[in-house]
Parts: sequence; structure tokens; C-alpha cells
Amino acid sequence: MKKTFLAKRNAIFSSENISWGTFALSISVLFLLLRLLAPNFFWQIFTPMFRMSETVSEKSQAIFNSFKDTAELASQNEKLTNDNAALANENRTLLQKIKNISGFAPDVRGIVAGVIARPPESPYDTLVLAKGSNDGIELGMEAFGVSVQADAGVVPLGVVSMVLSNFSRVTLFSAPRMTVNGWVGHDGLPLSITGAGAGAMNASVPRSAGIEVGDIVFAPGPGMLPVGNVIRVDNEPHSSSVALRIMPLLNPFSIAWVELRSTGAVATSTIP
Amino acid sequence: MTRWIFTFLSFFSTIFFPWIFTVVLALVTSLLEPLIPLAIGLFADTLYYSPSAEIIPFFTLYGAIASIVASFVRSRLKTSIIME
Repeated sequence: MKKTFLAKRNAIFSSENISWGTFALSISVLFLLLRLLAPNFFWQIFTPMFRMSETVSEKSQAIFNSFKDTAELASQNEKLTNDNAALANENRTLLQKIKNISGFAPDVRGIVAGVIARPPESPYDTLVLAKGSNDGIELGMEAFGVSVQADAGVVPLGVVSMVLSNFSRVTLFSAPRMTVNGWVGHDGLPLSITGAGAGAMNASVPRSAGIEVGDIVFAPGPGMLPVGNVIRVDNEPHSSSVALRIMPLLNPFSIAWVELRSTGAVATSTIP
Repeated sequence: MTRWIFTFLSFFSTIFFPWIFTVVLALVTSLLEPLIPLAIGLFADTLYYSPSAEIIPFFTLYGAIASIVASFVRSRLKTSIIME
């Protein structure tokens, strides 16, 4: 005779009572507790995922690009092959120069750190870096990126606002309420740059200064370093000042590496 | 099964896709599970919130609002003849 077994039911933890929403919320709370109680362990867990995310976005970008016109791609490929050969030669020359220079100034460079999370994944205009206090990173260090635009060179990006043993966070100059003193135009007119979110910055200057679209905005690093371009000048008819909309030279959405240095040029008090 | 897939996709999207895609996915999932926007908002802020950049953790806040609205809509639909 076939026996029928009935599964025991738990009156408190019945799967019928717990919805997926409650389960998901519990998981989120668990991760939050993990971040608050063991932040370094938390970032150890999520770093491989962010790396995978980066790979996925690169692959998807390549797939979308492959749908473009093949003839255009062929000509582009030929041009890039020629460029590549020229750049390889230039690279060899520059490497030789670096070898020569590094002997004279070994401490010019700072700490180079890889970016784990950047906008838009990191939505508050911050960068999460894969290096922390164990690697010599300190609160208030200035972060720099390298711009591929002509003559821009090293571009100040923001300030280290949080340091863990193996990870750190940089608050970009474009973060809302972030304020940094800088200069604009050929005459180096001093101004206060305020973050506007989503990679953009704002500033206000007297109307008589004659600032125009395209003028370069500088931030303090060692000396004056270009940080962005004026892309719009908003005139208020009854105001003696004009509002400048500034676009950063380096796109925060595509920063893969940053260099960190203790310049002392940007005070931590400027971080909101 | 659909709920599981959408819940998983929302969490996956928080790490792997831009935030706007996650927002859309969480809102769609809220039609099935009202607590999902709050869970995703909390998860997003756990990953990315920086007290130095913003005072308010916006994703948790907006997630909570979306969850409240989704719960309200669901409660209204349950009492109406549409769900019968």
C-alpha cells in the first residue's frame, strides 16, 4: 500500500507568507549591515562584480559598434593601422625619455589606482578606487586623470573623501555642493567652482570680466591645471554677474585610472 | 517565476547597468512586488551612497515612495472588480 507523507509546515517561516519583495528587502538590509559593520569585506565581495560590470559594458559597446557600416569600418581600420604604427614609434621615443627623466625626479608621480565604480553606476559623482590606506592613500589627497585632448595633460578630478584599508572614494569636483576655488580665462580670473551633478560644474563671475564660451577653467593642483571648458554663459538682465556652465575636460563616465597626490591645494573642508 | 526573474534582474542591473535602466526595471517589478523599489533603492545606496556628496540617500527615498505608491495601487485594484 502506498503511504502518503505530508510535509511539516512551519507556522512562522512559511514560504507562502514571505513574498519576493520581503526577501529582496532582507537581502538589501543584510548588505547594508555588512557595509556598515565590515566595509572592507563588503568591497572585497563587490569588487569582482564591478570588474565584471566593466567587462560587460566594454563587450556590449563592441557589439553595438559592429553594427556600423562595414565600408566605413574598413577605411577606419586602415587609418587606425597607420596611426598605430606612428604611435608605436612615438611610444618608443617617449618610453626612452621617461627612463631618462625618472632618474632625476623619482617622487614626481603619486599613487596610481584603478577605478572600480564610476558614474553612471555610481550616481553621486563619486569614484570608488581599488586602493586604500594600505597603499598610502590619505584623506584629502587630490585625484588626477589624464586627458587625451590636446595640451590638456593632467586634469584634477576631485578629492579623496573616504579611505578604508583597501578601498577609497573620490568625490569629484562636479559632485553637488562640492566647492573649489579656481581660475578662468587667459587672465586667470579667480572664481569659485561649484559642482552641479552629472559631471557638470557651475560658477559665477562679474559680467565685466568678459568670459566667453570656450574659455578654459583651471583648478588648483601643483599650480593651475585645466579642469574644464565654459560651454554656456547665462546672462541675467538685471544682475551684475553671469553664470558659467562648465563641462569637465575628462569625462567622468570613462575614467579607468586615477593618480592620487597630496598637493595640499584643495582643503578637505571644501568637501560637502 | 516571473517575480523571481524580475527581482533578480533588478539587483543585477544595479551593479551592471546604468542607474536609469535599474529605475525602469524596479518600477516594472513593483507591479508584481511593491517592496522591490525600496529594496533596490536601499541596495543602490548601500553600493554607491556617499555622505560627502549628498545628505539624503535619494535612491532609498525614491524607492520608498515608489513602494508606497505601488502598494496603494495594488490595494485599490484588489478591492475593485478588475482583479476579480
